[in-house]
Amino acid sequence: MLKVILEQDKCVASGQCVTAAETVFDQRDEDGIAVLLEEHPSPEVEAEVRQAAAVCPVLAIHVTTDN
Amino acid sequence: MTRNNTGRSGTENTIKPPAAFPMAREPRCPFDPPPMASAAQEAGPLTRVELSDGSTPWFVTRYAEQRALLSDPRISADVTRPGYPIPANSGSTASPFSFILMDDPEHARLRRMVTAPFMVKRVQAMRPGVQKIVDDLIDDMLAAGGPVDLVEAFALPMPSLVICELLGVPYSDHSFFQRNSNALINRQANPQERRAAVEALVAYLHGLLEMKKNHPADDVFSDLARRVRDNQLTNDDAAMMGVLLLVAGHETTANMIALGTLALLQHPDQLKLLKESDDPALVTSAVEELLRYLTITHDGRKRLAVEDIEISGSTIRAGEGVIMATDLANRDPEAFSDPDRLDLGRDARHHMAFGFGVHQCLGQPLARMELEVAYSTLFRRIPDLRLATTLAKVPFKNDGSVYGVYELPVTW
Amino acid sequence: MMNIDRDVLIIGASAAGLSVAEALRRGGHRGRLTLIDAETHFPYDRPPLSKQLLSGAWDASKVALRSHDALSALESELLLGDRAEHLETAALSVRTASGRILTADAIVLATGVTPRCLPGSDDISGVHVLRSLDHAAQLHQRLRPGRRLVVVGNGVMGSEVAATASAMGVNVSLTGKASTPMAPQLGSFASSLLAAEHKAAGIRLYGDVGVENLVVRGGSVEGVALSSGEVLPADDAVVAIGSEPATNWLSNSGLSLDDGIVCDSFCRAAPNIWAVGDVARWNHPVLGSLRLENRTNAAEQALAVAADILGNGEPYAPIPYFWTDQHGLRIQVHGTIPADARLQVTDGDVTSGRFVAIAMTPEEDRPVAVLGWGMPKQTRARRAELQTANSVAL
Repeated sequence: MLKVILEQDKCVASGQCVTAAETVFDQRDEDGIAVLLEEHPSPEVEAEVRQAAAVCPVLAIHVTTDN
Repeated sequence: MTRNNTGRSGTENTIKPPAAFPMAREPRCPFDPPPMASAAQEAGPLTRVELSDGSTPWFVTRYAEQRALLSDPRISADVTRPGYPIPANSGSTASPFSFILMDDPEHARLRRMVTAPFMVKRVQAMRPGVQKIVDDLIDDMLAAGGPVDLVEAFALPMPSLVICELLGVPYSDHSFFQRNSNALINRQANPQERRAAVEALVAYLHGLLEMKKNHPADDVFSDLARRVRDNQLTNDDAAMMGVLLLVAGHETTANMIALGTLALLQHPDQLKLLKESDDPALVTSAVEELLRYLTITHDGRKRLAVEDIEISGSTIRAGEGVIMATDLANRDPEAFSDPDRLDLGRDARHHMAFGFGVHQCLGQPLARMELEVAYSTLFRRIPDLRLATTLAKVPFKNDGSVYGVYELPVTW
Repeated sequence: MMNIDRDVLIIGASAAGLSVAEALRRGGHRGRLTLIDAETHFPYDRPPLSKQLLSGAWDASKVALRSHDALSALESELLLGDRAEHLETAALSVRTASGRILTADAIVLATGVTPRCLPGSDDISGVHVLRSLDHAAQLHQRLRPGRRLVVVGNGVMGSEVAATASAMGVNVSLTGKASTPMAPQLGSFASSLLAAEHKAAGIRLYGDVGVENLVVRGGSVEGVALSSGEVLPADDAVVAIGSEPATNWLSNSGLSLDDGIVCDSFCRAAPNIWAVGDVARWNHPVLGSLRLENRTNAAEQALAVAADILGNGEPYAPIPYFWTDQHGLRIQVHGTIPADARLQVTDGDVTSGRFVAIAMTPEEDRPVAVLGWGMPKQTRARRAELQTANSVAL
């Protein structure tokens, strides 16, 4: 099972994760800081989620298949 | 090509003097980094360069090392620290207030005040407005007939008008706004003229803030007016933020529009792919690839080490300046295969044209959207757009802090 | 002995088997873990085999299910290239092709499915099934612009292969028993939309047909003769007529087999024996006897099985879900779309080619499924509504 961790206090609101995986990440209205929509996304978005982790400029996204 | 990945100590520069920075491009390859810079990348991930003030900061040439350093907390962006590297051409109009030249936590606090308008869904909502701006400019171009200077007729006004909408500048004030923001970019303008333009804009933005306090709308200045009212910011701070957003989003986007158009015209096979496809995903990946290929912020990301850092066999000492050559990172064969080829279909999303780390360009979703609309509309409505001069005669901004062209005569 | 200290043997190390192993470790399992698989490749993900791997967009390294590091972190024994041949149900022991005898305190059967073949087509060059990495690599080699491919079977796999191949410039005919591609999974309206996408991509469609025989010359396929009488010329044929659960090896084990290993609602096939993934036919508390052949179920059912092994089991009652990527569209189905479902569009619109719709049962007007057509973000939002509606109904 995929597990995604978002370290929200590192976020600088670049929006890259939303562009990469829009069903897993969103940005909050008050300041555009990222929010995690889906802690255990379904397998078909695995590539997108790993892309989001790779392009996050502050390395705030971690993807594992276990704890 | 053999890569030298073995460590080099900081003493290697006693063997030969470091190259002067910035370096000169090869005039026949205006889209490629300076040959000496590329040679430095091949030779190793870190070397030193010499600036006009005699200082010799580190020069980081490869993708992996830049990515590591730009996200390292021992690396500072605080321009007021002694030793911070300032290359010759970086005469910037950024005020000392600019949060882009600060570190966290103060940087983060200020940055978060202006990130909301640039979030992906809000930028997407702006798209129809941006499309209209582009269409109106192209209408005017077509009505006037070619040849025109694409920079003056399209590349410069487009982002300026978009910023106006974003900030909430009323339409009747657009020409005042554009006149002064162009003065900031104009190579002919002397420092006094630039200062006068900044002052005029700051004064104007003070007035706009006042107006937005009383008549708020859905725009950045209404947001900032509210924050001033809630004592999160002073009026002066808010006005300077407005200037910052303007400066950051004007010349960069304008240069990408013109230079990107030129690059497409010079790569007809790629342009053909773009023109013939109706797949919006291709426009999106084309924008990323042009950002990578051109990396207009060609004088690198400048930083200072605040502690010793061991990296790839070298030791950067505390207090030493570091320049991350992001244009070279974007041509690193370890990060992009066949990197010197413009390939609009490749996956270039991991490029560093917007930088990396906490300072990565906050306007990037807007920049991307503007470029998508600009390139796709230009070539859809003027499919036989072509250069009205030769490549050799196009004046490139070799001495500018942001690369681009001063003029781009086109016709159709 | 405590549950967490038991020795567990997992037969099949693909998505379902591996997910059980990981979930056990996550749940605090400390006992020995052994995984065994007939394939020699390191465990890999199957969905890309008919998409990115087939097209060549990805190479084999990108379909690995887990990195070597992640696999070693499991602290399990992974035995590759050895097929399980016999199960002693009471003794909880398995004999493999190489002669190994493996025993455990708990056994998980995750042997998956094997693709059905056309009778008599075994040694014919140019006839393919698509289940393994080797199959996909072989097929990829054959597909070149202008070559003629006939796909036999217009279900999910056949439809995907047709879409991928047509994007590679191959001349594709998609044939099958359903009237329109993926009709059983999508319902007639959405299936006709898919047919339009295929046609727009240049794929020729033949519905309501079976294969009479293959035209073979010199040991190679030259054509496919349909039950309608038409003969379609072919350089290659992909047989995508479904799969059989891999249960032949269990025929004298005493386990109940009926298009899969029959289990209760906790996925138990017998005391201390569980089944998971494509091979498992379990008793869904709401939907009854069910066997799901899809990637999402492999991962979700694995969690249920691991929890039960650890003593925290609950009846496994998922909302079935699958997705397919064809012609640049992500098509998603949560729930099951009845053949005569009424589709109510909730986002986007059909004419623009991107939408989300809720499938309602014609009689009771109850939402039973969500269909996403190129709008993954909105589909996700509507799925949540379906869960609410279903929990009320349950």
